[in-house]
Amino acid sequence: MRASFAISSGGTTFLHALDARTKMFVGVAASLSVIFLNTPQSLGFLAAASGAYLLVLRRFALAGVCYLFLLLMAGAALGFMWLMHGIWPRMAEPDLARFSIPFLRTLVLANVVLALALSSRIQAVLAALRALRLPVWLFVPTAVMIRFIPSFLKDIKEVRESMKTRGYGSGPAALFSRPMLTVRLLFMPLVVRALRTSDELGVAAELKGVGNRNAASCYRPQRFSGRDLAVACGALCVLTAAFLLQSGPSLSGGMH
Amino acid sequence: MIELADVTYSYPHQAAPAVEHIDLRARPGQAILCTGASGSGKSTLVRLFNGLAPHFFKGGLRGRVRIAGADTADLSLARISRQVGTLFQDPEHQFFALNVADEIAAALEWQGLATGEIESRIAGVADRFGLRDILEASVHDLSEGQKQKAALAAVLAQRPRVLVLDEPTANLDPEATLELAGILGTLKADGIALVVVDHRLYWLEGLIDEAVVMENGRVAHRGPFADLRDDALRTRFGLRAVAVNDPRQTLPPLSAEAGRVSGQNLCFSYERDRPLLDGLCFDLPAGGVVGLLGPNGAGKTTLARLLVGLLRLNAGEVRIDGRPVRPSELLTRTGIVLQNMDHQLHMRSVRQELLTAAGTTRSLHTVEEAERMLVRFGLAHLAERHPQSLSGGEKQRLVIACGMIRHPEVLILDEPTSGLDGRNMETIARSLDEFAREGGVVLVISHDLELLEKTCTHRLDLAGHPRRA
Repeated sequence: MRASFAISSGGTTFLHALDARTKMFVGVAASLSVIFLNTPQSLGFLAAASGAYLLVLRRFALAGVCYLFLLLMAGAALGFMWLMHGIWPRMAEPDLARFSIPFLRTLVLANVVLALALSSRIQAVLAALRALRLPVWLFVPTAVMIRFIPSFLKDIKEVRESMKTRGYGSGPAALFSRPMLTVRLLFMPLVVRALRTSDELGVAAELKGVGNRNAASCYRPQRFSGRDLAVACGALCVLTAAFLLQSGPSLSGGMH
Repeated sequence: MIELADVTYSYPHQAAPAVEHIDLRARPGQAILCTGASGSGKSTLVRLFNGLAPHFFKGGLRGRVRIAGADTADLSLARISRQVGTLFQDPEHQFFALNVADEIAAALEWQGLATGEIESRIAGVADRFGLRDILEASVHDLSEGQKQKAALAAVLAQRPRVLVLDEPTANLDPEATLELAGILGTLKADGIALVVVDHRLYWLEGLIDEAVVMENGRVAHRGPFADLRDDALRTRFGLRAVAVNDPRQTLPPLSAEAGRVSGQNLCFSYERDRPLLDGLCFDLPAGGVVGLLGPNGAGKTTLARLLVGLLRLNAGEVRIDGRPVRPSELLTRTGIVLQNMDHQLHMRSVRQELLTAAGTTRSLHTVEEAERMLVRFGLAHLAERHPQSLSGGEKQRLVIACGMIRHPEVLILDEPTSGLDGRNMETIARSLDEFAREGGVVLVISHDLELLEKTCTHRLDLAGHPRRA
C-alpha cells in the first residue's frame, strides 16, 4: 500500500522539533506583516525567507507543486488583464511590479501555513490555541483547518493520478489546450473530496470529544527550547529587514 | 446495554425516512449482525447507535435510542462516544491525529485523563494489538490491517461498553479478518456488546448471536446466524455467501508460456537497499483474469502502478505483445480502477462520465457503446444522475465501466468489491469475465475470496516472490 501514501510524516526535521507555538507565532507574525508590506522588494524578500523556512521540511516536490499552482494563477490573471487591456485600451496596462504584490503575499502565507500544518502534532496546535483562551467555535475549526491540509494534499495527488490514468494531463499544457475540461477534471473531485474530508474530520473530532475545554489534558506537554527562541528571534529579524527594505526606494506607490 | 426502540429517522431535506420502526438491542457480551443490500439502511443504523444521527447529521428522530438506560437525545456526542466506540469501514475517516500514539491519546486527552493514565492505556492497547513498533508511525504509512488495528486500539483505549463496527473487513486480507474475529471474540467474552454491520458473512460464524437483515430501511428478517445459510433468503436479500472457499492456493499459477502482457525482471524500491520488487517476471495471458495475491505490504498496489506507468521501474521492462512499452505509453494502453472512487468521477452525469472516459482513447467510441455499457452495468436508469450522488456500489460499477470503455490492453482493478453487497459483487464479477472473454487481460487485486473464486483463472502471488533481505 505504500504507493498510495502521498502524505507521510516526512521524517523528523528541525521544524518538527520546534514547539507548535513557535510555528504559530511565525505564521501570525508573517500574516500580519504582509498586510502592511506593499513593495515587491520587501514581499519578495519575505517570500524567499519563508520559502527557505518551508524547505527545511525537505518536501521539495510539494513546494514545487504549490509554487507552480500560484504561478499558474498569476499567469492566468495577468493574461486576462492583458486581454482586457487589448479589448478596452482605456484600461491601464498591467504593471508587473504592482501585479506581483498580492501573489507574493499569498506565497508568504502558503509557506508559513504549510510549514505549520506539515510538521506539527494536531493536539499541540489545539493545546496552543486552547491556552490562548480562544472560544471553542474559533479554535476547533482553526485546528481542523490545519489538520485538513495534509488530507487535501493527499487528495490532490490522487486526483492527478486519476486524471493521468484517464489519459488527461493536469499541467500547464493541458490547462491551456483544454481549460474548461481540465479545470472540471481537477476541481470537481477536489471540491467533493474537500466537502467529504471536512465532514469526516468533523465526525472524527466530535467522536473524540474535541472542544471539551474543561476537561482536556495534554499527553505530550510542549516546552520551549533554545531553538524556539532562536527561530522566533530570527523571524523577527527577517520581518524587521523586510520593513527596512520597504522604507527604502520603492517601485510602487502605496497600499494595494 | 444499547437499545433502539421503535426508531424512525429521516435525514434533513429527505421526505422518506432512512430507517423505520427499528427495534434492536445488544446486551453486554452479545454480538448482533446487521446486514442487507446496499442502501437498505445499515449505515444509518451505525449512525443511530453512535449518536451521529441526529447529533451530527441532524434530521428527525422518532422513538428512543438508549445506552445503559440513558436516552442519547440527552447526551452529548462526546459522552456517547465514551460508551459507544465506532470502527469505520475506512479507518482513515476516523483518524484525527497524524501518528498512532497521538491518535490513541487524542480522545483520552479530551477526557482530561492524567498523562500517566494515558500512557498506561496506550501501552495496554499497543501490546494487545501489536502496535508497539509503530506507535510513532504516520497513520498514512500503515498497511490497511495496521490502520484497522490502530483505529480499533484508539476506540478501545476509551474502554467503551458497546463497539459498533461498520464493514470492518472491507480492506482486510483473510488472515487479518480471522485475526479481527478472534479479537472480537475476546471483547465479547469481556462483556462488550458488539454491533457488526457487514456484507461479508463468512468470518462471523460462531461470533454472532442474532442476525438482522435490513431491506428498504426496515428489519426484514431476524434470527440466529444459522438462518443466513438459507440460499433462498440470501438470494432474496442480495446477501453474500456464508461459507467461502479460499481459492488462493487452488488457483493455478501463471504458466511459463508467453502472455500478451509480460513483466521482465521488474525491480523497484521506495528506499535504497530495501527492494520491494526484485527481478519479478510474469506473463499475463489474454482472456485470463489473474488474481494478484499477497499479504498487505507485499507490493501489489505498487506493481499495479508500475504496470500502468504511474511509477517508474528501477530496472526491467513491461512488454505488450512482445514489445517493450515506455511508462508514458503504458498510461494510454492500460487502465486501472483505483480504490477511492470520489477521485475518479468528474462530470455532470453518468453518461457524460462514460463518454469523456471513452473520448481520450485513440480509437473513437460511439455513443451506442456508452449506452451498451450503461445497460451492461445496470446504470441505464441513472444515466442523467450526477456521478457523485450515486451509492457506493453504483459508483464502483461506473468507474469500472469507464475503465473498460477505453478498451485498455490490460485492465487492473484494486479491491473492486470492497464494501459491496452480493448483487453488486456478482455484477462486477460478470463484467470482468466478459471483458476477459473479449480478449482483454484483467489483473485483480482483491482480498475478497468470493470474487477471486468467481472470476480468477490464474494467480500471481507476490508472497512467493523472492526479494533481497
